[in-house]
Amino acid sequence: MMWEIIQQTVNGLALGSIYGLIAIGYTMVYGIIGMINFAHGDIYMLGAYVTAISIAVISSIASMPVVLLLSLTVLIVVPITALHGYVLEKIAYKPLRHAQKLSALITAIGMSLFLQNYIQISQGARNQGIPTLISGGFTLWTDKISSLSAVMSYTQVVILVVTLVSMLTLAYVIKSTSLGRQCRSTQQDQMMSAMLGVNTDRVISVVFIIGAGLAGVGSVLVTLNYGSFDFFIGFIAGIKAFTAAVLGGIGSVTGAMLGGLLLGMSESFFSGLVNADYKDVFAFGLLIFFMVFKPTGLLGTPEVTKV
Amino acid sequence: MSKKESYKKLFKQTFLFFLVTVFIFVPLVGIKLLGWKYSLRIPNALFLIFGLTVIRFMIGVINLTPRLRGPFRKVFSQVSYLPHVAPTSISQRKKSLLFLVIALSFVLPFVIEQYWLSVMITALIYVMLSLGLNIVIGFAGLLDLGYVAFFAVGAYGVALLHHFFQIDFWLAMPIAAFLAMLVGGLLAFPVLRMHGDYLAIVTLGFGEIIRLLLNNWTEFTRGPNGVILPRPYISFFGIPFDKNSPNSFHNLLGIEYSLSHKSIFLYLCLLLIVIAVTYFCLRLKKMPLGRSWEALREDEIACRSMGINHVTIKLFAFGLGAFFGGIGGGFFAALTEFVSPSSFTFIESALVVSIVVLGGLGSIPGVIIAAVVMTLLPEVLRDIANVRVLMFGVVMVVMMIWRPRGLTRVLRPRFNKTSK
Amino acid sequence: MSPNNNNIIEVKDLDVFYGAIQALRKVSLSIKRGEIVSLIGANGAGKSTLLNSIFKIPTIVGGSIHYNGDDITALKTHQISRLGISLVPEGRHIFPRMTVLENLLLGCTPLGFQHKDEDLKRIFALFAVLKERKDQAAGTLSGGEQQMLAVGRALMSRPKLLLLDEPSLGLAPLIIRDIFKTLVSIAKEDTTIFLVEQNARMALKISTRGYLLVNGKIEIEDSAKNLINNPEVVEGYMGK
Repeated sequence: MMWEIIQQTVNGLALGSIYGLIAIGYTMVYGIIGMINFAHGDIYMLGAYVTAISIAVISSIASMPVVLLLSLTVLIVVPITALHGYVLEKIAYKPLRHAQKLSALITAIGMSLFLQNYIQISQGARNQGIPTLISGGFTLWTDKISSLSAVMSYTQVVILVVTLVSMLTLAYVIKSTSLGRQCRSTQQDQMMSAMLGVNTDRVISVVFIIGAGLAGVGSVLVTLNYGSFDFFIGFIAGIKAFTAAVLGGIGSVTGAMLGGLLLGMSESFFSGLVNADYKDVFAFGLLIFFMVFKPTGLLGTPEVTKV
Repeated sequence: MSKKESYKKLFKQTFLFFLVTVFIFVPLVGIKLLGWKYSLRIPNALFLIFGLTVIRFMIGVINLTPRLRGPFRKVFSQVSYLPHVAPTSISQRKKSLLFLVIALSFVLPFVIEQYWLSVMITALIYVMLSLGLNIVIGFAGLLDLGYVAFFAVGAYGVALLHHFFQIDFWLAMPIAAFLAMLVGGLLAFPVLRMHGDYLAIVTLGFGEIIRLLLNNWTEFTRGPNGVILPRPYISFFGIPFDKNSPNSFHNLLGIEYSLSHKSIFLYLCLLLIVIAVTYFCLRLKKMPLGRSWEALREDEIACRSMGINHVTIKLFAFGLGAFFGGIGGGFFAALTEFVSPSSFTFIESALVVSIVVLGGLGSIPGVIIAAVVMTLLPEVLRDIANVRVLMFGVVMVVMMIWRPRGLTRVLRPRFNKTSK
Repeated sequence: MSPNNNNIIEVKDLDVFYGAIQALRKVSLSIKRGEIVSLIGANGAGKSTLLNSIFKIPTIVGGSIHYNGDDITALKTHQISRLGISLVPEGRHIFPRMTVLENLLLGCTPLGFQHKDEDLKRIFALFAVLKERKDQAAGTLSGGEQQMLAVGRALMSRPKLLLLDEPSLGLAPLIIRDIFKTLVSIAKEDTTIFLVEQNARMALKISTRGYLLVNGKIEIEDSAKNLINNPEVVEGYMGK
């Protein structure tokens, strides 16, 4: 039993940190323009394709150590997803900055459908994959009776380390730099920020870029972990990450990470100990539960409707 | 700014635009994954890159040329029609046009082929769904992204009632529709306090939960394999359309057996129901309930402070929308004689949402036309069938930016002060 | 008429609409360097609209705004503050979930950060209480402290022109006096002040000139001394 608990904790942490990485994009965008970027999950999906493509292209040009290969891949994927985030904002959301919320949300759904189909057409509808790049892992615990052991794979180690580094960098940027201050001030009072000389349009673009870039990091890690993907993965991953953002309190970056870990762990335990078929039902149920009973999440600030 | 300077700026902007398109299209269009290898499709990418860059440059030139700028801006500026008050009486010409359309749709099944008949039935099912969702989104302003759940409940209700109890369609369909309504009410309770984005996400999650349940609860729903209904499933109010049964439809009428009898019957029934529902929706707009929805859509807080019970009217909106969705689902099961979870994905919900948006939120004629066009178009233009969803996406974005209130005008019903 | 170069700001024939309602009708005014000018008027006369329209918050339909002789009518909000204009808006608009220090640092945005320590020292000398609370969330300050923070934040960008919208709103009389004293001392250090106030007497006392705005139109323009004694102004805007 003990090995299973340890194993599910490790799996949950790895899964959760990826949810957290994607959730940050939702939470930051929601914080700053008050809308759900529905197409965010599809940016992540697109990142998975770019990951596989760059791994295929790089390894066809030269063979190199896995560490170098992965670093190069991250350096290719993150700018490309970030650029997609930037363009997405410019095309679909900026013209609707002052429109009704319903219009902006419908645009977002339209963008999401567009991206899915764009990839389906350009890359084909079938499942894609990458070869296993990192194999093996640490044995954390071995049960004496059944001799089953809990293993933390090296891929999971990479996931945790990369997530930790990205999170710390982001936390530093938001907490201590001028850009981070501008992001926070724009989130709290857009008009006043503009009057203090903050170029709020640029800040909003930056938020989309950061969100999409982190989703890109997430897609490299997921592709590394699972190896296979299709053009539809953005949808489920998107809702899951959004659930994580809600769990942690939408608008809060720390909350998004916390919510991601929480969702990853509970999902992993649910599928390990209760029923793997219903793990998505469980996650969506959790989403609805939180939306109904605690819409501010764990760390969110209550939303005040001005009349 | 001088002309030279502004052209310099345009060249710079176009070059940046070019760079962006290069980084967007080269990796994802120019390179195609083939297993763990790849193949180059650079011409495709170049086509997109240069095509878009030229378009961007042309738009820039038009903006810098005063003579072209005016008309260009007029066409592409954002227009949002304010609702217009409907004229007191429908003009004679419109009346005769309406009559013609209805008459034509009754004659239609007798003149078209079997294949197009089933396409038309599908179109009518979508009209049904869109009218239902139009109540929720268009009238009450509640963005429901899980509408497919009610469609699924209707379809599975009919299929499972036959599977377990051999209940005939004409009894099963109303039961399934009421079941869908019940589920709609069930969904309405947790979302009563929500609006906007949160509502959208919760309904989306709800729709996915229903689909996952259908997929995983194999003992009850037979899982991904779906439920197969006998063919022909639908009966002429109890009289089967069977070929070999002695007291079947064609034997009683003494006509030759044809596969299309069943479809024609299905079409005509559905058409009658759709006309009834349309009339109902038109009346609904003028009723106190319809006006309460309008108030709810425009400003929930103001609506509640006017003494309108938002709980009841939201329940009604979801319930009615779900009821019509359920009817649509029932007919879908009767048409395909097979239901499986793969027919009830999020794309289906998004499609119906985009029909309602395209038709103009709240406009009943607009929604009906959009539903028929969106179903027929991919059939007519076979070549674009694979970019269908892509087009829906583009249409949704462009419409929201360009004509957020839809292509047609939304007419508010007129209320006469003196009519008392 | 070319803009007068002695004027730090010159507003000409300004028209502003909110939907179909005209909030400002052909408003013209000018302020010379080193002046303290008050804008008085009733609720809804358009005083805040006038200040905000210098920052392009409402859309300007007609007219022009010149700053130091340059046309700034077409600039965007964030570009205005880089010219050396600061606004202390009505209701203070501090960032409640950021610390006092962070609020002040945001005030540096238009200038860059090369003078930030010097400026912080200056602000802390002006408002000692802000120094004590510099690591506290700004939302936890009292109303008067928040107003000081808003003024301090506006001063961080070393403005040549300081616009204040109702700095006395909701504050105790003692604190109002402190704030007005500070304003006078700021004005002595080469900062022109344009003050919108309902507390007309207080405002006119420290001003050189004043304007009276009624229903979106400038009704009277005069020296502060004359305005204080103008029976129409006394009757309508000063109480007894």
